Amino acid sequence: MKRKELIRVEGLLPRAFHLGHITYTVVLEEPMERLRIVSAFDKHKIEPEHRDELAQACREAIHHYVPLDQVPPAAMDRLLNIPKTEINLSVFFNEELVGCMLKDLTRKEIVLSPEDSTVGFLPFTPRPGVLKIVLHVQNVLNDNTHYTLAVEGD
Amino acid sequence: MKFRRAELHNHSTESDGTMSVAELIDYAVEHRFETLALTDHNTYSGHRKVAGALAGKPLDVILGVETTTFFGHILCLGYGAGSDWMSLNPYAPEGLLKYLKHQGALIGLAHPMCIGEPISVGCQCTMKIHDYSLLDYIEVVNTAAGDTLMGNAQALALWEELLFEGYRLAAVTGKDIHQPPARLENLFTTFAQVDEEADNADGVLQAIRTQKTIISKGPLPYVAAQEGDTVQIQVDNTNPYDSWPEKFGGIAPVMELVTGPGQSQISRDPWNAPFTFQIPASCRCLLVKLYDGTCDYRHLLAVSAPFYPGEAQL
Ligand SMILES: [Zn+2]
Ligand SMILES: [Zn+2]
Repeated sequence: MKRKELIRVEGLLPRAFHLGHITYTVVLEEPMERLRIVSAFDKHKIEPEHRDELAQACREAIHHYVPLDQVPPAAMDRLLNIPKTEINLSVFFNEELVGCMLKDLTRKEIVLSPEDSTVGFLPFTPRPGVLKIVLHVQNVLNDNTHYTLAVEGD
Repeated sequence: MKFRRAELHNHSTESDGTMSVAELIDYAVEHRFETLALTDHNTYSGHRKVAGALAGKPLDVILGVETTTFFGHILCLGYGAGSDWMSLNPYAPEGLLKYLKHQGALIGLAHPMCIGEPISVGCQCTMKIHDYSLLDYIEVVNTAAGDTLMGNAQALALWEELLFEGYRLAAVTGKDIHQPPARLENLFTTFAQVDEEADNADGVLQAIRTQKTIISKGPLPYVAAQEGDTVQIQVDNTNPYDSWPEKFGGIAPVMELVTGPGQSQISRDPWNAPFTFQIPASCRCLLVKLYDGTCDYRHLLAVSAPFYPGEAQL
């Protein structure tokens, strides 16, 4: 079985790319048995230089719902630790949704095949057509957040 | 008429849940959900696993998706496809809402008032909806976390405000199951008013479409009869949900009859006899709310389906 690299990209995201999508489209020119998609990013949590600023913004958000002095310290710690960067991923083929991986993971690995697609994805037979991979970038907390995407077909 | 319990917001391993579709179905059967909606985030890959997992079990499943955008989560029931939610314009979201509706989905806002940025980005409904008539319902109570940060009281208030502006929206609840809930006691759930012959998932969808849903921790208030401007309200206390018939004896019943924004009347009559109420001429929509002792969100036990005086509904 021959492996074919279809996409290999990387990039850096600034904090101002707070919410957005990055779409990669590739034309599949021949039938294949399976596709393997790997996406990853770093800087999942806030870096020390911005930590106080984020904590203050979190406290303000909480204060809209409950007076801060009524929030037990353990609950406050838990709430302040929730913010994270997420990059989720959807796959479309000829504009039809194949599936989506929405999980709080910095590395996502997806297999698409007729028999054993990763959960979250339909069975899929790679064949000539347009493959679209969308990275859903949510809450970039740090400048220079590095992401990668690789797609290979067998 | 029958009351059918419906748990309308649930996730499996197909998105970020911990139970597979089969495990979620078994959990729902074990806990007598009657109707379960499968609403994974932005995927319907679990739908084809439902029929095999159900295999004659006493449960109906509504296939759905939680369209999870950066500006709010839109529950789509009776829907099994993708959508180009990436192009959602938060300042004019009607395009996506129309698309989903035209695909045949019943659409509702999930946890619209929950805490948002910077803690849970995307979860709060921050899209600027100009036309609420494109929605079918609002999830007014989400029990995945505490009432306060979920903004449940505010979501209920939003629904009431829209209702009295004339929008026809059902109120529903969501357990938003991602893992087996830590507790199931004292939680609101949805009861759909269905016809005897439609005591199934289709009946639940029809109840949402026509706003025939009650949110409740046990008692089920409904308008049983109407003559002229007088209605007869009954409370069904036989519902076994959360051992309500046993709990019923220990509460101090308060019934609030809401007839408009800031307009209501209170009755402390016991709920075991029909209650007759004369609807004010100005009332376009009546809600019956039940409390234990005090008229506030913390003591709220149930909210009836909206009743539109003068329209044939019984
Ligand atoms: Zn949600
Ligand atoms: Zn959800």
